[in-house]
Amino acid sequence: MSDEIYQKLEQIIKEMKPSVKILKKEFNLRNDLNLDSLDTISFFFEVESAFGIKISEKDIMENSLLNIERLIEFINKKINSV
Amino acid sequence: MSVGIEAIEYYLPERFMTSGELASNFGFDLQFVEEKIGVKRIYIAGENEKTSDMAVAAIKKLFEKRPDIKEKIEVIAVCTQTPDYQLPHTSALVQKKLGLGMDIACFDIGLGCSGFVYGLSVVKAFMEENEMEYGILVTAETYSKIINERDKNTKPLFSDAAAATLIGREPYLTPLKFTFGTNGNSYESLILRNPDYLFMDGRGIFEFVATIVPEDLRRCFEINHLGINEIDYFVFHQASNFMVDTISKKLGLSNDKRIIKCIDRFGNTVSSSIPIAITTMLDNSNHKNQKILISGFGVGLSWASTILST
Repeated sequence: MSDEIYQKLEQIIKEMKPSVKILKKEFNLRNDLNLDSLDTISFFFEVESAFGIKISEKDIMENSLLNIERLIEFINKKINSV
Repeated sequence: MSVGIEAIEYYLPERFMTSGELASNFGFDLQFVEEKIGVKRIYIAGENEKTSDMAVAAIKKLFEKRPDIKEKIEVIAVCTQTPDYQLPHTSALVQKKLGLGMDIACFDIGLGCSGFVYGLSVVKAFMEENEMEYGILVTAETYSKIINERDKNTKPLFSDAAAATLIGREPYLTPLKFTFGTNGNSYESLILRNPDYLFMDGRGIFEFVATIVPEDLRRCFEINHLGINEIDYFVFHQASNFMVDTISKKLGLSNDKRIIKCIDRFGNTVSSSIPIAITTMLDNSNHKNQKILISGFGVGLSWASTILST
């Protein structure tokens, strides 16, 4: 499942930032992918829509979800808890 | 004759802040302010300048352009969420300051960014029902007075302005059918608690703009029996470049030249953004037999759209 999540995230990122060729799991959305605050809002909206889940600001802060690997883990857990 | 828009004039306060000042105050990149938010300057009402003063200034410009109608105005509706007083209604102050007669209907409309489209429908219907010849819809906001100067979510965005729209029976822009909607469940997404400053939940607003607004636009095309390719211009509320781009993308119109953008010159002027945008786009060319989609959306959450036919 993690692979599918990764692929979907990569697709979302590539649509937003066509210059990104490969999404590394250690990437941080802000520091490595240069997503600004508005891009980040848009990114989490697309992630929520793609996986049918809700991710709050608190979730992002408490679980360091700007990191791709952490985000994959979080989505995986969230999907499995539904 | 059908009732529609005969003229639009707008007023901007003298004071303003530049994108450079906004970027420096909030630690943003200049590029982020100018391209992502899309703002090059925002206008700020004078310390003693009230919403009614700005409304009056816009109407005076309308009277300069159309001196024939001053004595013929039968209704003035002021759309504002920053009234001079909680009561009375600001439109009564506007009537006084303009020195208009007492045989005039005046009322306020308490809507934000959807207010121009709602107001257009309300004033049009009011005039038709009461067989009136001329009315004015004024949109006027002084959000600068309710914004925390240090709030990076709202300060770089909102701008003070007023627009006066003359509504009459020889229109150059005639509204077709309207769509309206409300989602009161999200009333806290954009709210002014008392006492406090304006609060905006950026993610909540984005979700609204990315989902409900495009749906509403599709419904507007449908009820007017028009396809998206039959629209000559799209005038969305100028919330930010980012929001306008989001709606455009959701409609499959990314980078389409028919999308009107003027937030760079004026900032997000709330309910005045659509009438101001209309004036900028109609300045430069001939617009016979065209269809212009207008859509307002924001606080409430509230939204409304229609198509203007030239």
